[in-house]
Amino acid sequence: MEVNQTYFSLNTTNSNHDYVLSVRGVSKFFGSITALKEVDLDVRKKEIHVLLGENGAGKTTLVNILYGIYRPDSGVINVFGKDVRIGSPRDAISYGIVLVQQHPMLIDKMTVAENLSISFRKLGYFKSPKIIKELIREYSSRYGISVDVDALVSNLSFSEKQEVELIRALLLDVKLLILDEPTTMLTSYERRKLFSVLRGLIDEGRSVLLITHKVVEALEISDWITVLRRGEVVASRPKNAYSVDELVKLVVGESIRAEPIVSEDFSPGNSVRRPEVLSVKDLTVVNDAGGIAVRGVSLDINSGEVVGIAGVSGNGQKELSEALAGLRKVKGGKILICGLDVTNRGPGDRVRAGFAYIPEERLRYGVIGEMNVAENFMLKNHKSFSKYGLILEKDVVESVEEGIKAFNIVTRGPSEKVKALSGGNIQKLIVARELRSNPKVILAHNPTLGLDLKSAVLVRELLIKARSNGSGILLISEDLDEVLTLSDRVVVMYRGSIVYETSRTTASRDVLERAMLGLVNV
Amino acid sequence: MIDTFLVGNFIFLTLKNAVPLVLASVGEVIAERSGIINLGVEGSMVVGALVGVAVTLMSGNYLLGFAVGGLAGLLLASIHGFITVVFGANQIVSGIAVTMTGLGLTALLGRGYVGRSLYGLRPSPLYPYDVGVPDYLKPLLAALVRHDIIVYLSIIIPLLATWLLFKTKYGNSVRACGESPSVAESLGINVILIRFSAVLLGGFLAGLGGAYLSLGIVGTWVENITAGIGWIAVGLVAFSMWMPVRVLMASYIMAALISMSYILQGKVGVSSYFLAMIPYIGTIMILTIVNVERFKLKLGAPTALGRPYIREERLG
Ligand SMILES: Nc1ncnc2c1ncn2[C@@H]1O[C@H](COP(=O)(O)OP(=O)(O)OP(=O)(O)O)[C@@H](O)[C@H]1O
Ligand SMILES: [Mg+2]
Repeated sequence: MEVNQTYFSLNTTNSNHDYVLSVRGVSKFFGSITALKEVDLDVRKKEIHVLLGENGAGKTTLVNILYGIYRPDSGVINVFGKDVRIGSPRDAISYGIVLVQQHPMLIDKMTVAENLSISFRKLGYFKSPKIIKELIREYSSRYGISVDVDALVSNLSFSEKQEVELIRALLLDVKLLILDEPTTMLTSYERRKLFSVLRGLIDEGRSVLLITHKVVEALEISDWITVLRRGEVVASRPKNAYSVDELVKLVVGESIRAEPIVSEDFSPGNSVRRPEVLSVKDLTVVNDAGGIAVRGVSLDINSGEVVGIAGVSGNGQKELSEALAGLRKVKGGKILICGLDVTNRGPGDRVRAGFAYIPEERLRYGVIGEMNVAENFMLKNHKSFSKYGLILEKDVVESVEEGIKAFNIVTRGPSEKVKALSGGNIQKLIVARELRSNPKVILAHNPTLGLDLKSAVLVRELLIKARSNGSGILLISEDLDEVLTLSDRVVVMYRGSIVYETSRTTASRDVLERAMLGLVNV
Repeated sequence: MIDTFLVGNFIFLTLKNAVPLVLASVGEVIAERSGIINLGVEGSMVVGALVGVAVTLMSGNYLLGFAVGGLAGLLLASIHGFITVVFGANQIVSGIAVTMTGLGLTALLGRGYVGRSLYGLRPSPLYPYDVGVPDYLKPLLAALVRHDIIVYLSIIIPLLATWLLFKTKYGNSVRACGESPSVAESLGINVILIRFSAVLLGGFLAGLGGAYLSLGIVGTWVENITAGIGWIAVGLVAFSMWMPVRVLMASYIMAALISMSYILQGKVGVSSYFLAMIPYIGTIMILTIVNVERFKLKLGAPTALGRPYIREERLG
């Protein structure tokens, strides 16, 4: 550690600035797409620098370049006053740069200690990773992070995995820690904890580059904000030099409504009795470990109604939504779609009965990454796009292009592979596909997770529109505000059961939050 | 009364016949743990067998022949390494091509060595005398102690491999590459280097196995001396669920089958046609596992087995 420090201070003396990182004119093209165009970025010592931008703005691409995962097509990267070529994550690490990616980058089948040992450069190749356990314990207590060194990574929660990655960065004596949308999957408690760890790192003289698409979050945590839009830097100033409105405008390029429009007929508890489209009776589902994840849940959803399930993640929402979608076996109870018993039928039968699914795990259940945008778009609508079993190429392309426009999907076109799309754009593609067929029931699980403001508003508007067209919607979301704005009825899930139910008009945020923590009983 | 001579002979042969299988299979476990399936094992073995004979005849030192045979296997495996690890080509196709190359090359270059006896240059037993033991037990004791050093080495190697794979940073890195090369890279591993080294190590062990076949078991060079043993070794890897110690046991079962057919030659026993079929069954098994995701999961195969790693692809 000592050696490293002198190494870095030697280099900084050559530079007149206090810059840890200085990027000049970096561009990156993926085929005909310009992901980054002449980007400049300066990160100072002891600074929390936020990189703000909407979906597809190029944030992930930029930090992937800084971590050596992608190569820039042009531009210079300067670290501690020295021009460097970052050809691989190993190079980046040797310059003191560590990236914590959007999805945890750890080997699931190995333990925490094993994962960290691989990463620890000072450990000889034929040394036992045991030595590292002591170090991990020391670091975790110093920074107030608790990790079980012998735990298998696959058994850790998202935030625990993130903590392991933080420890990893610290073991590597990180100078510039980069985090790609670290808060998306965190509860507000975990988020606060993360931020306090980050502040601790700053105090020690390290720097942080944090990515987010949430304006409020950027203002809360940062010292400096750089705004990226469609691959270009549109502003870079100290936090205090921005006003909220201005920042929002800079991010999306135009002013937008922050709340989704609520159509006139949005009157909860309508007097007209609508037919039931989804009926769940006494449903019991087990999780991967064999424990009961959903216990005796009963729900009825009428046509033209949104029922929101609020709850802290990990209280059975995942298992419930997978069971409803036919992706997970049901242990007991019944699921009826428009009166048809689909309990033990596959997803195909549900789709035919009028069921649409906007999954949480997009890449796993929502799209086929290797197939292109058009192919993914017609996955569920083959019939309407084919004649005598042959695909009507022209119809597909037309309607995909329509979808791309309507949903503002950033893509090179219908023939681009889906895995090349940014996370937010993949989600928009799924929503466009699912809503196209006028479904009777829509199951939306965290439908706006990872979406920027504009896309989130768009998705919410579309859900409300589907509701006006008579769809019954089950919304499972960790975002309480989302549940409150969209739902006619709200139920709270806690430890696999529904513990509280209320209508939108009578819902109180406070009571709901208490119920989410299991402090209220029906 | 049991015929101790027959049983002793059987045990003796089994321990000996298992050596090439153990060495080659353990090598393949290491390669596959890094995510690279190497069907060039048969090729590395046959090259190791010929070079082992040639070097032993030239130098008069069978240990040198054995070691250089291993290096020859490593050299052949390096072709597979370049094609699959560095250039990211199809591993199945490359492996088969490498085996073909090895078989063809040795058939050509080995002509001058066919039938040249290694008498006196073969590995000799470590403990040749069975004093102080009742006569009827002698064959049983001999079956255990009258082996050359390589037989005992072959028992230690799976243990060493287990230590390497599960108790060292190198092993963790190898396994990480086999689980997810992109995560491994992000953790700071040089994926190309680790995978390449694992393939080389696998080739080296296969070469040693081949050299023992010609030096220790057959005692001379004959064309196509391996006769499918390399394929069996590859099959044993999946059968052992990628665990070196299980490879040891699986190899003994296989070797017992082979030894039985020698001893019971002509009498009742395993049909030689059946034995000849095993390599092909093993190969089909491997190809099925690699290509059917579900089997891969069930058997605990390395998640990224058989998948090339090409950088600059979008990561999840
Ligand atoms: N490997 C790739 N191949 C082709 N195109 C890519 C690749 N990686 C990124 N892109 C494209 O580059 C653009 C920027 O993507 P990037 O992932 O950097 O966005 P982002 O700002 O991180 O968005 P999000 O908030 O949705 O994660 C997108 O249009 C995306 O489709
Ligand atoms: Mg991103």
